[in-house]
Amino acid sequence: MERFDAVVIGAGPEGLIAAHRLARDGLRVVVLERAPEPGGRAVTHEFHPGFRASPYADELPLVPRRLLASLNLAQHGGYFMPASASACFTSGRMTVLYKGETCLARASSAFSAAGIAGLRRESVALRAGIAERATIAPARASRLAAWARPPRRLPWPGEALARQSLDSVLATHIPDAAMRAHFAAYLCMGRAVSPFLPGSALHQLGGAGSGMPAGGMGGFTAALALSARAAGVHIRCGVEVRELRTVRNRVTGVVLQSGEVIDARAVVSSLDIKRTFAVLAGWSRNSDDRARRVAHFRMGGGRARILFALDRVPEFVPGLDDAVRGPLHVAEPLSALVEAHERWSAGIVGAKLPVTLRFPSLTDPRLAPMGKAVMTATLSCVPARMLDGAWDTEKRTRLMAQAIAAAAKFAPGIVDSIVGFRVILPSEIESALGLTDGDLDGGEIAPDQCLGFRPFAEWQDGHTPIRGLYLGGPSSGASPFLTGASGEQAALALLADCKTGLFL
Amino acid sequence: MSEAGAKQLEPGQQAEPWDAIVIGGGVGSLTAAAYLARAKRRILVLEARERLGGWAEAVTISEGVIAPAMADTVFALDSVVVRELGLYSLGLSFVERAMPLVSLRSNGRHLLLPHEIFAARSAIRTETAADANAYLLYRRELFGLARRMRSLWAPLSPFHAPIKFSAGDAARIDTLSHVSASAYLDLWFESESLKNALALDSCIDGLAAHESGSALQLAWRAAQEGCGLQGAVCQIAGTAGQLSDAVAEAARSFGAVLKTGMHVAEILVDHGRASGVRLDDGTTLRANAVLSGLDISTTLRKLVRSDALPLGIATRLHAEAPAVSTAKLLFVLNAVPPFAGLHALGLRGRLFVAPRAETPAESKNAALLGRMPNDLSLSITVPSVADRELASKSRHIVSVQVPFLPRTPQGGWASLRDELRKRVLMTLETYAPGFVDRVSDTVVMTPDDIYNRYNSGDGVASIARLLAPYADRIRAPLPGLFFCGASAEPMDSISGRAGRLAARMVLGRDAYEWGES
Ligand SMILES: Cc1cc2nc3c(=O)[nH]c(=O)nc-3n(C[C@H](O)[C@H](O)[C@H](O)COP(=O)(O)OP(=O)(O)OC[C@H]3O[C@@H](n4cnc5c(N)ncnc54)[C@H](O)[C@@H]3O)c2cc1C
Ligand SMILES: Cc1cc2nc3c(=O)[nH]c(=O)nc-3n(C[C@H](O)[C@H](O)[C@H](O)COP(=O)(O)OP(=O)(O)OC[C@H]3O[C@@H](n4cnc5c(N)ncnc54)[C@H](O)[C@@H]3O)c2cc1C
Repeated sequence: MERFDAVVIGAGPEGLIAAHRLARDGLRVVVLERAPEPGGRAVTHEFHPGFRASPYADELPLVPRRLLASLNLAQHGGYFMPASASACFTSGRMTVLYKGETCLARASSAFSAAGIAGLRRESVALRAGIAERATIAPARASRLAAWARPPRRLPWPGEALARQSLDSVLATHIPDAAMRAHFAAYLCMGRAVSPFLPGSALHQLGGAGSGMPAGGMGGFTAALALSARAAGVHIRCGVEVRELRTVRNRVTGVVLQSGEVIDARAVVSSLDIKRTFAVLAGWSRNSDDRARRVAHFRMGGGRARILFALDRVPEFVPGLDDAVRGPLHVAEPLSALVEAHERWSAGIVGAKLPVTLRFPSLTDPRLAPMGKAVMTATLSCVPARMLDGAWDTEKRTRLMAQAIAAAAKFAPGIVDSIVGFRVILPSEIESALGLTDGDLDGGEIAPDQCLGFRPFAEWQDGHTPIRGLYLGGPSSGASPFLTGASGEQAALALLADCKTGLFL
Repeated sequence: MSEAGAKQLEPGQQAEPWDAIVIGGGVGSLTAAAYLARAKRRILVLEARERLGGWAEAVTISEGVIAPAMADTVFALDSVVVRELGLYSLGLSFVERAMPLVSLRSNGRHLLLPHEIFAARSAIRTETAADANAYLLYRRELFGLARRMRSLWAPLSPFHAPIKFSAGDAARIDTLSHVSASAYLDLWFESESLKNALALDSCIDGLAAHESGSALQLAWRAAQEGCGLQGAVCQIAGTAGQLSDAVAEAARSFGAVLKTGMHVAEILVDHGRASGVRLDDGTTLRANAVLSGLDISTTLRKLVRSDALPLGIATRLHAEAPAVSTAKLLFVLNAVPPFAGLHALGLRGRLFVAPRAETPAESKNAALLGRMPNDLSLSITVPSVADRELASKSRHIVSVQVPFLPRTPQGGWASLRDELRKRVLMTLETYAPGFVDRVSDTVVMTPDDIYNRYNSGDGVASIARLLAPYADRIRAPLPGLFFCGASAEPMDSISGRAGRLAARMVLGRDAYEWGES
């Protein structure tokens, strides 16, 4: 039987990037993936004959530029096509927001433009700082139980946001209420956010997307997988990890669903914290302190997606301009988000969900047959656990109606062009990707679950209380706002421990 | 009630400035005045209303019934102030030194949590055994940390080097200031009523229990001492009015001049320094320092010309204006309030009502949007049970605080006052069937009424405020102006600590008079 230095669970972006990093340093690495193909959330599927789209998200969070270069992605066909504008309907008024500062200044009042530009520059600087902090070589694990002694926490940029509310941040920068709603819709897309809570300002770090990858999200992971294989990584698809094998709190390998055992000296998990510890490590059977904390880690899944096949390219309302290639939001003023969030946490589907539409085939025509189009709708504040029982046809229809009503605001008459669709509910995201509550973020974005506190203050930089096990997925420190950073960080933590001989 | 100071203001005296003028006659202001006067300074206290005490006053509702106007409990009273000003000999005493916390349930199976740790454990054991042991650990962890944080929250002097915490404590504080109280309590306990009682006790004003950082308020509360007992909630004999009377008496005995009926209209600024005040009748009074017992926002927005303040402060104050506020209701009953399943010991406690665990969060959200919440959370005391002097014959007073209400609701408070009264009564009726029939008198004070009565509102709670050293809250962004009221405390409360420390700052670092008494 083959013996590996490291097993990586999950062949999503984080898993592949972690594996690539380990292989580059000469480790023998295998990636185990449950689905028949690598990619995780970043895949492109045919959902209607001839029409393809990414089922779970249209964009990834920003990939740090340095990481892109080190992965040689462009060489393997992975490149991004960022949108240059976005639009939003709020209380009957449409606003368009441009990425470029000159266009921005032309399209909005001078007051708003200066504020928005300032806010953006602030977030860009913060994200750059976070990307840098994420790759400071992590301190090696102490041999003492990581639990017993709180380590010194290196500060993260943006921690001050943990004390502010999104509303106050937006209000100090943007005087126009409709623009504020637009900006908030852009930052909170696909999530349930209560913008007056302290710490909701952390969402300011999100929002920036990488841009749509060529060929949809699958194009990106295809390139990643090629790059990883070129570095010597084995990728095994169609195998599901059932449990982690540990001996005296030390990882020795994993057991597959088939019963096959794969030995390894280290394991990097790119699954969320609950999946990794409660399920794979079996902590849900324990009641000790650390199991309790994992059980209380809050998930925030709140996104439903609907993919539409359109038999013609829609005719948009005038004034949208380049924004048709970007996200098109329908959002209520900020205060309405409070209510939407409340309903979400109570397990009720609201009547006026924030909706974001994209037309990926306008960016990459290969996704739809000639002359036709693909539309995706992302609905926020859709609870993963429903108060009033499971989803039925009626509820799905109501969800559809909300998405179509939103689309009609931007392209009246779009209803007649729909020839096929597919609804993806949070529970389906959960079962497809193995993400608890279908939360793509791997945990609610809250001050006590972000940056230096993600997943916990004591588990920093990918280290976990189980020796040889590293957490590199969305629940881990660097993750939420950047793609690849947490996978890389877990890999770096593992390599640092290798150097100190922890594995000999 | 105290009358104006004995000495009258002579016109000739106006030429020479006062050493300090203190605006407002609340507990904070009176404490500052007492300490400054004790250091032989010439002090003038100006209170707009006809009586001293501010929010800590007693009101006579009807013949023979005295009730606490606002504060019905104290939990943050500074024992150093009590000792140094000799308040016990001036009439301060407690009828209840450690009120139990009671989480009311509509089925009558209330959780009664005594303050004493082992009694509390046995009380919890009737709910769940696991929580009982967890409670011991919880108390040890939180109270231990709180004791070590007293150097920040209960310093003896405002002049100290930045406080250094051990690495472990720094990490704990860091965590608490990011976690919400409910998430933190979830880690310790299973029983909903236990979590409710602990969360509501610390988070009924300030950050609500679902907001990040509210866990730090648990530690703050644990760092206070009601009357020498760490983390205890106490009831003062004769209501908090007795406390303000005692402090006023102390100030007077040291020679401070206390004037009521003097409404300050403006704080005068000369050469970028606070130099005195102008009353609403036009009189100007000069002083070397001005102390304000009003909240920050009222002081700076209403009393200081905006061009005298540093740039940007005005906008910041505006953004921070509180949107959420508190109402107060007093009921006079002609018999003991009929809380089902609650015996006499429970009636001496601080009772909490929150129909569901999410109620405070929902209320706060509704309040932020300017709406009345669907369900009300209440904090209730029955001060006349422990203090029989308050109500003659068999009558009783029920004092109800309603947190998380909109400061400016749609439609205004005038039209909502009656609805508020009905809703509170309805809520009480579900926990105490027959309550309504026993009510003989009712006083409703909406947030508007409270503000109009005292011309001073509550401060805005935040982690930054909780963790700032006292000096940062006391010093106003205008030289010569100091805050000495509740807004200079880490959280709004009756304490006197800010008053004492503000006096110390006015006297300056080297004041030799400080030690004498
Ligand atoms: C503010 C914010 C914004 C974000 N925006 C976006 C966004 O717009 N779009 C987006 O996609 N994400 C977004 N994220 C999340 C972010 O993308 C993630 O941090 C990260 O990219 C997740 O990648 P992954 O590889 O860990 O997960 P995945 O892509 O989910 O990969 C997990 C893989 O593991 C496999 N697997 C599951 N269980 C098993 C098992 N037992 N055995 C073997 N294999 C298994 C799954 O099949 C899957 O392939 C955002 C996060 C935040 C906080
Ligand atoms: C319903 C309710 C219940 C509470 N319960 C408790 C409790 O149980 N325990 C607790 O510790 N705290 C409680 N508090 C908080 C506490 O009562 C206050 O924070 C505290 O009493 C404030 O004291 P202070 O010295 O800062 O000023 P205040 O008591 O607010 O005094 C300010 C004084 O200034 C006067 N003034 C205003 N404007 C002018 C002017 N222009 N010129 C001259 N004078 C002026 C006012 O008339 C007033 O007397 C409660 C508050 C409320 C609203």
